Amino acid sequence: MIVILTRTIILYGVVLFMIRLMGKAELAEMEPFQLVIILMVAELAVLPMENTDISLMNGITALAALLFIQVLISYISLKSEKGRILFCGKPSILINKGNIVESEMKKLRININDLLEELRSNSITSLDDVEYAILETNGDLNVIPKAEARPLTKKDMLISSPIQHMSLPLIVDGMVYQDSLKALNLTEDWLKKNMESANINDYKEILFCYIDENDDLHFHRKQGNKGEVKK
Amino acid sequence: MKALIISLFILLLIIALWFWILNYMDQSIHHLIEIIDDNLKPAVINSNWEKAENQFLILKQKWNRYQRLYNLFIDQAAVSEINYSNARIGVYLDQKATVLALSELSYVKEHLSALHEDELIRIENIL
Repeated sequence: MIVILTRTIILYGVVLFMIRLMGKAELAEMEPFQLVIILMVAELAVLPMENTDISLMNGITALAALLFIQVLISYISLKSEKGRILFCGKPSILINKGNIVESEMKKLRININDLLEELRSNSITSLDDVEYAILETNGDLNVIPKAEARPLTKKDMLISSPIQHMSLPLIVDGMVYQDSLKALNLTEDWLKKNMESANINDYKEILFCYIDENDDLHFHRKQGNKGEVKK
Repeated sequence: MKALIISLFILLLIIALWFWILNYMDQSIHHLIEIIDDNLKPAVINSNWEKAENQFLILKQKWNRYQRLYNLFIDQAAVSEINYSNARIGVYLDQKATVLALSELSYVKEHLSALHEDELIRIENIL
């Protein structure tokens, strides 16, 4: 039993290292080759884990080979258009300028009900509102509505909006995020001054502190009290 | 690019390790087979049981040393199978059972050859 425990810990470490090295895209199971890799990794890791007759090195060798194949294919897809088409395929246009492309639907074995279902999941209730519907290589259907069916934006109304930064955490569980301060050109002195205005003397009193898009500073004390200070 | 280099490095490391193991297995298994063919079998055929037992002891000691590494890279069931056979050979030699000892020695010899051959890049191993 302790052997299986040890093997599990080792293989967990190996698979975690592999997935980290493969990159974030792998976690989203984006492209066909990435999906294949994830399925195979799961299976290959389990075999030496539960069967102690199988050498651990053999399991790790198979995983390492998969890692190399995946990274190599990703690299080829990144650098070569032909490679990308070969490994990932091409997106398919199911609705082109408001017209359903029947030949493409037949080719992909998608019926009208499937298409309508996908459109509904994209919050489109009428086919007439769709200008383009594109089935991406990762299986997602992206819908581009007709101009008249698109939601109104500030740009349509010619309203200019100031450039905003994204909301960033500054203190999490008493720990100051120096990277966030640096990104916003702020200092710890500035942060301390604002803490004093909110009657907070120590970082340790803060559970979460963040600065929002409007430059407002928000404090959540560990006791559950909430404070807010304008920058 | 970093991921590609790391994964390539790991793969090359494994391939280099495989070459080293293959070479180690080739030499060690060849040596064990030599003991069986040149010393053990003739001693059993000539009913020289004292020599046979001495040679078998040498074979077992060498096998025990080699199998420590084999266990890391080869199917452990195959390695255990040779250990079981060794146990049987020990009894056959004690009992001076010529035919049984010879057949078990042949089995061990074939099994050792198979261990090495299974690791070679051959179409039958791949398919």
